[in-house]
Amino acid sequence: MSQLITLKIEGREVTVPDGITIIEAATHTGIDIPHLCYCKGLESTGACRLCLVELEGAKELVVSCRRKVKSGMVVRTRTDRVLEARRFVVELILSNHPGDCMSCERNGTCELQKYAYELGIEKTRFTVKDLGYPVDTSNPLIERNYNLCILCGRCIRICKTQGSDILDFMQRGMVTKVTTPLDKPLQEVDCDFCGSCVAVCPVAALLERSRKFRGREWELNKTKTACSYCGCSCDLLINTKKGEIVKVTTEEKTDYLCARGRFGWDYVQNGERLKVPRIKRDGKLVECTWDEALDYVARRLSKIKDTHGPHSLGGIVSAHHTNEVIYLFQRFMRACLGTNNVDSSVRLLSYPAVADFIEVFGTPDVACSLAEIEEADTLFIVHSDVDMSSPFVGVEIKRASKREAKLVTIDPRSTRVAEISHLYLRLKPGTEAILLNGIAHCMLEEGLYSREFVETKCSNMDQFKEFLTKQARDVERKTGVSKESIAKAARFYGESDKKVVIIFSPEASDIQSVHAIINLLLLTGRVKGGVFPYMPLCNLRGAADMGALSEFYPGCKVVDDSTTRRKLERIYGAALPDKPGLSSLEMIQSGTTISGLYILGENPVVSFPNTTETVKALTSLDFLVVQDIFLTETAKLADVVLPGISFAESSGTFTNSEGKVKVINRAIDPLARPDWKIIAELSSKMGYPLDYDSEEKIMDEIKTLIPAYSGGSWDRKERYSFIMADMGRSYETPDSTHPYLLMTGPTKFDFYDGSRTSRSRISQLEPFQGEYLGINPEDAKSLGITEGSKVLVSSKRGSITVAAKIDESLPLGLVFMPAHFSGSNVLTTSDIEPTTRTRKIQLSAVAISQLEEVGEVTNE
Amino acid sequence: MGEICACLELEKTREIVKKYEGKQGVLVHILQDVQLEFGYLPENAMNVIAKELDISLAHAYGVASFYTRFYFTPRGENIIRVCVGTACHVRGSHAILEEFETELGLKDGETSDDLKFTLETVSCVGCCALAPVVVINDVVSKERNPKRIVTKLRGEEEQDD
Repeated sequence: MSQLITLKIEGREVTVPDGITIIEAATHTGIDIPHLCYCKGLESTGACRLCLVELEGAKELVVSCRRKVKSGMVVRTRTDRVLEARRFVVELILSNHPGDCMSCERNGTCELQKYAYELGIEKTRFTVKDLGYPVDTSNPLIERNYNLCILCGRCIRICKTQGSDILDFMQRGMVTKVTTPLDKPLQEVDCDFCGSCVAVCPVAALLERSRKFRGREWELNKTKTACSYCGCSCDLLINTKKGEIVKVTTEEKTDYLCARGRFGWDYVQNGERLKVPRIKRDGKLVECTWDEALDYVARRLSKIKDTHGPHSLGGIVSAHHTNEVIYLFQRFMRACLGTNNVDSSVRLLSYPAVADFIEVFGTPDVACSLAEIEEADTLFIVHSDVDMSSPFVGVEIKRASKREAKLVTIDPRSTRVAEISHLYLRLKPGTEAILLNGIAHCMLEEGLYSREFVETKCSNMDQFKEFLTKQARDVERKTGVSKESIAKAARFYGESDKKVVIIFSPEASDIQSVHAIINLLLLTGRVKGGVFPYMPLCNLRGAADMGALSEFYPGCKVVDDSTTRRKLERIYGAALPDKPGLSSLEMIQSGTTISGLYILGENPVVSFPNTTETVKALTSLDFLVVQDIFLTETAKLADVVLPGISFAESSGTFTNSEGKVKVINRAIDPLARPDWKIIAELSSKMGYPLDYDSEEKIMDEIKTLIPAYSGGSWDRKERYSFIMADMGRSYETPDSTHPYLLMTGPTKFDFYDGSRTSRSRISQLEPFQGEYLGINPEDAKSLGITEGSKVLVSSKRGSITVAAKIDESLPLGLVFMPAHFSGSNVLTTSDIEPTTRTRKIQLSAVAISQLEEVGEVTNE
Repeated sequence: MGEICACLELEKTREIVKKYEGKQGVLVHILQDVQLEFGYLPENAMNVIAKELDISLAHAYGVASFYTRFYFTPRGENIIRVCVGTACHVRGSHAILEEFETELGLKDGETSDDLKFTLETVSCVGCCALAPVVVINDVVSKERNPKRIVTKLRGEEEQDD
């Protein structure tokens, strides 16, 4: 804590922490000193000269956003001299700012307008100059009108800390302009479109295009809720006018949102939203009433249950739904239908991490908080595309690095995060586990581990040593990383007095690398706050907690635990099955034992590996019901489609990557029926009434089952075991027919199955509409491929045609394809790893050939 | 051809930046050296400078664009500067500028497509006694008739060819 000092502002004695500035001290006291370039949360530059104040004993007026407080200071903020100086400043700014307040979007919240009014300036005494800059409307999200810019530089500063640092003052004097290098449009200079610049702009120079002429600030209702894209689930305010979303903002101007969070909400109001249920008749989905649809679903599911037994039914729920919906879904599947065949996106996106956490620590709640990332001394980043998947984590990493934290990155791709790292271990694709084990082995050899923790808390150190010795053979050759670099990484991780956090992608990690990460935590005793798995979907943590996994009841209790089962049976008033059900991948594969499948919000045709097999399995089902907000690729195959609602229409909670429970509030009226109500009604029609008045009632029930949701904590193990498994490669070995390895993954503007982002303007920012093959320049050259060439990519599963995108961050032999369009998974394999029952293979072997301009090849 | 040029730019720029390794406050020096090498600041070179100095590209351009003597597009072999400072203005520099504009088909600040000529204005070159002043390739020209100047320069070009 810094010392407190006392000074006088406007005749009032104020006591504030030492080291803050006069303007901050004034804010403490409730005195507002006018300011334009100063912005709470950003570094001060003292450029606008509006925050001038009089300081007793000082000859000149001082800039209050730069001058630090001193004990005994006497500050006057509204003397005639100060006001005259401020008037002069504002009038000068107004001479460069057309007074088109009449239809300006910022009217009423414009900071320049506010000060002009407060200072009683009706007209500037100077000639108003029209700068005549063209307004930039070349991108779909942000309008840039530099005729209104007052050169405060807030956008420059915030772009440095949370954007991609692409803005600065260009030229000088009268023609100074805040812009990008060579004044290029934002979309050409690697802009992240986080929109932070729009949020801090004090005038209307930067605006959300979505809000133009759709509502003045005072007409907007703001609903506080949380984002439904990635696992960060950032807080946001949905601004609506007359039931329509106009824009999304944050509580504090400088709070971060990524492009998806700030601009990716428009799918909610997309014309393709489903509003009425549909039943397939004569091969066509035709609209029907809710009663017709639900009666039909109830009848068909009951019939299948009666003829083939409950385990011929299955359900898959997407983890972008609320805890309440997911919880109710699993209750319906288990208690009403009587099967544990209930699974979720967790399986493919985070299961290895969830399973390991529960096995080793006894709880899924192991992640540190986002704030802890920023405070860490050292960050180990395994899979450094984190700023694509969970952009806010990327920002926290960047902030930590600005604070001199050491970054160690493990990734075959030289991503942006890799580029700012102190140590970048560029390993061969798919060898993460080997490298991490190599680091652990080196730590053992050099004694860089917590002997005390291992001796008192871990049970199988000797076996682990043996295991590592075996694993560490040939690490250099297998991973392509030098011994020296491995030793360096081991020393970075082994520094016992430092706070080190391992950040990894549970989606991109194979089970062995998750094991290896957990072993590193145990070796150093960093079992609390030592790891951050960034979840690629907002409620993956919650979905696992709620029991949307075929082997876990709510609270992550295994289904063969009879105590939990008896407790649940009492609450549910129904007998529950005691054997683990099928995983989502097992439900949708050839030879599946499932006849009737209920899919809630998930889109396996795009998001599951091996599209051809997936489609075959889905079409061979007796009955498929899909509940979603759009007619997705999967919904098109359904016998019944039930229209649900989006996050903006929902109430409830998400549990984010940190394990924080975020509250979702309804911002607009539901366009269709709330998902929990659909499940409840369907259940009633099947003779198992689920009577809840509201989402809160469902949460009350969750709270009785999971103490952590009612203010309690998770049970944790006190003793640990290293976790070892040698399961061979998690990638398909390339050969002469399929010589390249394909990685699929997230991109900046598209998301997951693309069903939401493809219906949002943000997807327009993806190159080649998000359908491309990233390839190293040298590989491209040897194949005769240039940027935009049409290429045929094929694997043993199938082939697709996409545009080539030259990508220098990729190593030789590794190609990349966005995971969010119905194409990349045509190539991937759905081989199942038997213990986790999720995908075994992360990287698939593919062949690439250039297509003639007019090709005969069609997408399979 | 384009590719070779780009490679050369990158190589040369790296060499230049290397000269200043370990020193502080070198950005403007590097920009000057790079401009001396290429006649302007190519985008590829700016990328290298930003990367090597670990600053943002925006910052590099911010600094470079502050100075009017840094150029971001290729410059002509012959640079014609017409002074439009007070003294030259009074002595009719605008007529001279206009005549250059017609003769070369260029506006102030532009470079001809064949990269032979760049026409620009300056605000004072410090020899007002000679107003109106025309500076050809950094030398104050005795000749002030635009037509004759251009013809002469074109003639020299041909002789060189």
